Order: sequence, then structure tokens, then C-alpha cells
Amino acid sequence: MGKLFIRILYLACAAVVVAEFVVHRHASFGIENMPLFYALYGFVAFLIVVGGGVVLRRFITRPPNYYESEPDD
Amino acid sequence: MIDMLTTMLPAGFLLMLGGIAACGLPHAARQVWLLALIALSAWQCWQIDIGTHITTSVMGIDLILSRATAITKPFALVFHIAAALNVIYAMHERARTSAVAGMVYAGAAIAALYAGDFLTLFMYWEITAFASVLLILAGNTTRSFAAAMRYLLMQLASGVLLLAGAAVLWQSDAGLAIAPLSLGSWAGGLIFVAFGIKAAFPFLNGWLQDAYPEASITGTVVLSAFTTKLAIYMLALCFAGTKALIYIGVVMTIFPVFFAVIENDLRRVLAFSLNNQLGFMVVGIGIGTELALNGTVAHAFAHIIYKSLLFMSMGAVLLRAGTIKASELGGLARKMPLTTIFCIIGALSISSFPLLSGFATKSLTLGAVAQENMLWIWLALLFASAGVLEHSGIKIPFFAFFGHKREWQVREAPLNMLVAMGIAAALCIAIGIAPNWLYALLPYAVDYDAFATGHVLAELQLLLFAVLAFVFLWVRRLYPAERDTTVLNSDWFLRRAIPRIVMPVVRGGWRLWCGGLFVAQSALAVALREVEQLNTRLRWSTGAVETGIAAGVFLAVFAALLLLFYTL
Repeated sequence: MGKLFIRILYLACAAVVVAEFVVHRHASFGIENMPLFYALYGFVAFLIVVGGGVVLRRFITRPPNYYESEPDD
Repeated sequence: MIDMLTTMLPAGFLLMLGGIAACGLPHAARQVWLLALIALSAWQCWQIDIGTHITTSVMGIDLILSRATAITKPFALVFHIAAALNVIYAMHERARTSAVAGMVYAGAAIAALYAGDFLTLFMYWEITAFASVLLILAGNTTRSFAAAMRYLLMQLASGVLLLAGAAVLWQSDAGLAIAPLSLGSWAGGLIFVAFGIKAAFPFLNGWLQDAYPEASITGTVVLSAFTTKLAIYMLALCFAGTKALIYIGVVMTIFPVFFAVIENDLRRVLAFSLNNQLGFMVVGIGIGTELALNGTVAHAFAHIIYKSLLFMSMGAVLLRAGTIKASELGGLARKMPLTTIFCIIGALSISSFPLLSGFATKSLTLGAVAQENMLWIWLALLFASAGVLEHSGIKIPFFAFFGHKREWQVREAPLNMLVAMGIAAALCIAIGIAPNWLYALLPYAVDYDAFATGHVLAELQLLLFAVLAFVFLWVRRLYPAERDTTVLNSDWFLRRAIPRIVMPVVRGGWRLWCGGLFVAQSALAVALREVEQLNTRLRWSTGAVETGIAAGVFLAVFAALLLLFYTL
């Protein structure tokens, strides 16, 4: 993956973390007041999505020609 | 002429009739004709104000052929935009069947938006099914033929349920007019499932991921726009505020994201993503407040455009690279730079990055959930947003255009495809930067500032750190490698469970039944012979009275056997 892209991403992440302590954020739920709630939620949710996919893969993947392997009667 | 268009000809007919007439035109003239028709039809729809306009009576049944509601105009407008994009995107194709089918399909979908009663709706419901199946058949493979038949089966099942619901309504004297329904009634339940099939509710969704990716390159783009959003529109008219929809919608946003992670066919990944997007709209309908319905309509509008854009970019990849499997793609960005840029704009839009269309529209739904103080629903939708970023925001552009470096001898997509993608991308940006023109089309006044700094910051944190998680997984080689597989989905029930499990059970039961009859018959025959022999002996020694008794015994045995057999 492009080094430049990764550097820009790190910078952007740092910027939104710093901004958290500058900008006032209106919260609808108490949990939103937790510092860096959105950043943590995004990071963890992404890992759960991919991890869940890996687990699911063990159960629901079949060979590419699964449905064509035998003629349906 | 102008009056005639709005008072005599129901919306959508221009496209249906003009589309069929386009059969006879040469290639270049057909393109001009179709685009002119779409422009004229869009103008016609723009003139139709809220209210009932055209009614008729057939065999004592009052039909409402043209009636506009508060949410009709935005749907009609975006259906026209999609129809025009489809024509431009398919201009390089000489085959006229797809062009005509696509136009009739769009026309019927638009006509359905203006249908005021369930019988009229049923008619267009079926026309969309039959016109759209031609686009799947245009995939022109054995697989696409089989998928088309399964697709048609599901679409017709939806039609039958809709008609049954309409019949129950008609019986109950409630009238056939399309109006809010209750899930508690038979009619409401039947129509709910009819809409649920086309809106790809959980377990009714298999046809979508099964059939859409098997259609032709241009066909898939056409399909992505109409059927499911017509179902969303109808759900909004009939079931707004039905709480069950909140939970159905949440499930729809969550489960496809896991399937999309492991799916290898990138057009199928988009079909799962489409399902997830419908979930957000269904949640909005379930909440049913003004803000929530605004959110559903706005999201549907933006979604049709960015989803078309994503399908168009993947179609261009399939056209040039000859494959759409993530395991065989990668590194196309150098050869197809413009397609790459357009795809990324679509990917950022669907992921709802600020200044792009998804952000300005999905925020309304999330805001509506927050307004109702539904914390768990809100957390689930936020989770699903990270899921959207995974499959549509990252997986689609990354594995097609970047990812593994491969050598390609391919050209950039044809000019007409680039133009269509360019227009769609421009619309994504236009909605994202200045959402007010879209907000003005919504059914209720929008008092919502999508660009509040705190809100923008929250979204950026969520998305950027999710991207960071991807980079973390990718660099450490923890991201699951793409594998060429079949991912089982709810179409498995139709394709495997019914032919392999249900049918053998039915067949086995039938054989058991026939076998049982044979055994019973043999037993009877043996018994009969015994009785006959007994009878002969008895008659030899005694007389007619005993014969009568023997016959009585025989009949009793026979009756007992019959009783035993039929009660078991």
C-alpha cells in the first residue's frame, strides 16, 4: 500500500483526534460524551466486521461451482 | 398538449410506449429518441401536483391511474435520472432488446409510483418483473438463465401476494386505494410480505444477490435502481410507523456486511451492499416521524445515484478486464484512471464521507433515531456504517484498482460509460456540497444542519479510524485473502433445500404411502383367501347362515384395516 497514503491517513487521524478537544460536539446520547467514542467505535466495529466475516466464512462458503456441481432435479 | 400529458396520459406511459416504439429505430436515432422521451417524461412528472388526477372504472372497480403523494416527486425525479444514466451507459451496445426492456422497466416503475390503488399497482408490479427479467437473461449464460427463472419466481410470488392482499381488501369494503395498512389485518400482512420480497427483507433477499450479478454489464446497473426502491416507496406509503420495520431494517443493515466481506464477485458484493442500504431506509419508515421519512426519501434518492455509479464502475471493469472476481483483479488504476476516480467518488458517497451525498442523506435517518432516543438501534446503524465502509468504501475500489499488482493490457472504459459515470459522480458531489436542493424536494420541511462541526467531526473520526483498522489488517497481512467461492445465502433454500431436502421428503412420503397401500392390499388379499377357504369348509359342513357370518367377519376385517390405514 502506498506509503504516502498511509502517512496522510495517520495525519488525518491525528487531526480529528486533536479536533475532538477543540470543537464542541452536541451529544444525543450519554455515550457520545466518552472521549474519542467515534474513533474507537469505528476502529472496533471494522475489526468485528472483518472478524465476523472470517468466522462466517468457515460455515457458509462452498466451492465456486457449488450450485452447478450436480444437476438440480 | 401540455394539459393532455398531465390529465390523459398517466406518468410512465411515455417511456413504456416510446420504449417499445424504439424497437424500429436505428442505433443512433434510438439513443436520441430514448433520451428525449426521458426528458419529456421527467417534465411531465414535474408538472403533476399532489392529488388525484386520472381515474377510471373497469367492471365496477374504480382505478386510480394517476395520483401523486408528498413523496412521489423525488422518487419520480431520481427514477428519471437513473433511466437517463442507463441509456448513456449502454450506448455502446447494439442489442436493442436490453434497451427496450430497460425503458419499459423504468416506465412501469415510474407508473407504479403514481398508481393510486393496489390493482393498478399490481399491473405495473408485474410489468417491472417481466421487463427486468429480460435484463438478467441478457447475461446470456446458463447461470444467468437459471438465475433469471428463480428471480421471476420470486417476483411473481410477490405479485400473487399483492393481488391476494388486494382481493382481501376488496372483500372487506375497505376499497383498493393505496393507503396506510395495519399488519394485524390479512390484507396488511399479505401486502407487507409482497413488498418485503421486493425490498429484500431478511430471508426474502436471496433473489437479489443471486440474480443481479448474473445480468449483463449494463443490465445490472438498470436493475439496481428500480424494483427495490419501488418497494421502499410503497412501504413508506402503507406502513410508515410500523415498529416491526425498525427491527427488520436493522437486521438488513447488519447481516449483509458480513457476507460482503467474504464474497468474491464484486458485483455481488455491491448487491449485498444494496441490501444493507435498503435496511437504513426501512428503519426510517419504521420510525415514521417526519425527520425519519425525510431521511428515507433522501437516502433513496442519493443511493440510487451512487449505487448506479458503483455498479457502472464495476461493469466497466468487467467489460475491460473480463472478470469481476476480487481474487483475479487488482492494479487496474493505471490503465483505467477515470473509472478509478469515479468509483472512489461513489465509494466515498456510500460510506457517507462529509461533502458527498451519503453523508447529507443518511445523517437524517441517524438523526431521527437519535431523536427517538433509541440507543441500541443507533449503535447498530453506526456499526452498519462501518460495515458499509468496509465493503463498498474500501473493498470495491481497493481490490479492483489497487491491491495486488497485476499486469493488464486493457484500455480505459468506453467514452459513453465514462460520461454516465461522470454525471453520476457530479450528482454525488452536488448533493454532498449543497444538499438543500434535495432537501427542498422532501415531503416535510428540513430543519437539519448536516454540516454542524461536531457532526462532521464525529463522522470523520468513525470513518478514518475504520480505514485505519483496514490499513492495520492489510499491512499485517491479517485481512482475509480473497478466495473464489460460493457464499451461501437465503437463495440456498430455493436452490438446495427445496430440490435436495423438501422434494426427496415429499417423494419419500409419496413412496411410503404407495408402499403402505400395496402392503394393505396384499394383506387384504391374503385375508380374503383365508376367509374364502374357511367359507368353503364351513359351507361344506353347515349352510347359508354361516356364509353370512363369514362375509360379515370379512367385511369387519376389511373395515378395520381401512380405518387403521387411513388414521395412521
